[in-house]
Amino acid sequence: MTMDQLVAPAGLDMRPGFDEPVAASQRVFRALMDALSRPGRIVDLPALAQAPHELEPAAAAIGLGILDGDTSLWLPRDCAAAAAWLRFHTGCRIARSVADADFVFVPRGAAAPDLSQLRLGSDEAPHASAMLVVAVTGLEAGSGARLTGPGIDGEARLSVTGAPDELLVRRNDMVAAFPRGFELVLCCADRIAALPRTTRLEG
Amino acid sequence: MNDAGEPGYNFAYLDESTKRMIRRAILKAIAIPGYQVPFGSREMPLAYGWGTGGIQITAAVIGADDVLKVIDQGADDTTNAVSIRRFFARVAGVETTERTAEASIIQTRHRIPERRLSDGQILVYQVPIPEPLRFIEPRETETRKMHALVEYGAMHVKLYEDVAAHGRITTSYNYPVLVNGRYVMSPSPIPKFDNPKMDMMPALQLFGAGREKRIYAIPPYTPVKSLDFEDHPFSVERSDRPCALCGATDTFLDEIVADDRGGRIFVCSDSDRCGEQRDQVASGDGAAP
Repeated sequence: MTMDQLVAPAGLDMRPGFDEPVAASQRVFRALMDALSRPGRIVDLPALAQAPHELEPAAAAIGLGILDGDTSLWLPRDCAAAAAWLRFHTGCRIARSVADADFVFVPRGAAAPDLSQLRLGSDEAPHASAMLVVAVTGLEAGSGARLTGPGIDGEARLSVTGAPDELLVRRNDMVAAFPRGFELVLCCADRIAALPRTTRLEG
Repeated sequence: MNDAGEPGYNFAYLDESTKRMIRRAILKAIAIPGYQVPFGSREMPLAYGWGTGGIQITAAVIGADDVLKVIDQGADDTTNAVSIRRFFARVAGVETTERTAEASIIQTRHRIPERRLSDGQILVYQVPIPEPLRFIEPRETETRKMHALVEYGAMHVKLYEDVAAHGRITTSYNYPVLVNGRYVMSPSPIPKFDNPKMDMMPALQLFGAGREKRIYAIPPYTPVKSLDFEDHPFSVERSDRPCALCGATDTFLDEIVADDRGGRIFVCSDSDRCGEQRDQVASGDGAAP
């Protein structure tokens, strides 16, 4: 990768990342690990002072904490500033299509990409699959859809508002062929909830 | 920034890109319980076989606020446990403890603490051979297919051979388990006495094999079943004597040489639990031995 690919396009406002990247990355990871190992639990991410306006602060923090040159990221076309910002701070590759992406970010109001292209891994290598990070307008634990599966003591309830149309229904179909599947992280402001492929979601 | 650690080294020893790679592997491992995720295991400042897999997981997970406990065969005061605890006290500046209840991360070699772990704790296992099918099928390409196809008949044949030869399943440690009804998994060389503790454990369980370059996980509240047969159900051996130090009758005991005339006693393998029990007995509010 040449240097000029890492530098923001001229005229773009290149916002700062984490003040303390080592500590903040660790906290982002722990929050994500907590959310994935306890589906339906709502977890706070470290505050990020100036995330690009296209991204939820939680999605921006996940990007800074988890992405690097070994990972590829897909963002909608109209999110060039967010893509440039994440590429600058993490060195991640920008995927040309959803099928090539390890991480797929869907910001608020953006049209969901063609989910049928999302990488689900294979039966022999189910880990070679994507994480879908989607902005929603509301997350509430304790009411809403019923969640069961690993990480959940009995059952959990999660209410999601403002997710792209049919996302959760599509998701259920796409994780039906376990171990193939993908992980879904729902972001609302600086909070997240996660649905690993093992979580059964009803209602 | 490194305000709490060894000068000249990154926080928790590993560089940030290695930590991120391990972290991404841990996230996939949690999402696919019992599946072995390959990772780019690094050289660590101690030899493979001394817990490099567990150390790399701990290094990727640990933060400045964590309290770390390390045990080797249940004990906090053995060489491997002391070295690893000191390593993280030095490179991450974290608080360490010998008390199971006070630890947020417990790294272990070959035991699960006797005290029930709580929601929010993380148990990190050091794993020598992550592939439970390895002694049946040496080829990785084949074991990968066997896991993909849920082709676990050979594992039951191995257990059946025990029954045919000895009248019971004689495997007493590293006893294979089925995680969430899908993947056969090696619990690492813990005694089978500890297997029931893995089932629906409230703590997160992470497994690291440094030499073999695999990470796997069991999320909290996940069913973990020890393999068995209807007519030969899984059972745990119980000692017929109490711990010689604390009098406990419900713990896993180690046999130790007590003098130079060949005298032997049986004591709790979990040194923290044994100490707690002795304190209770001494203060008069515990069960008499």
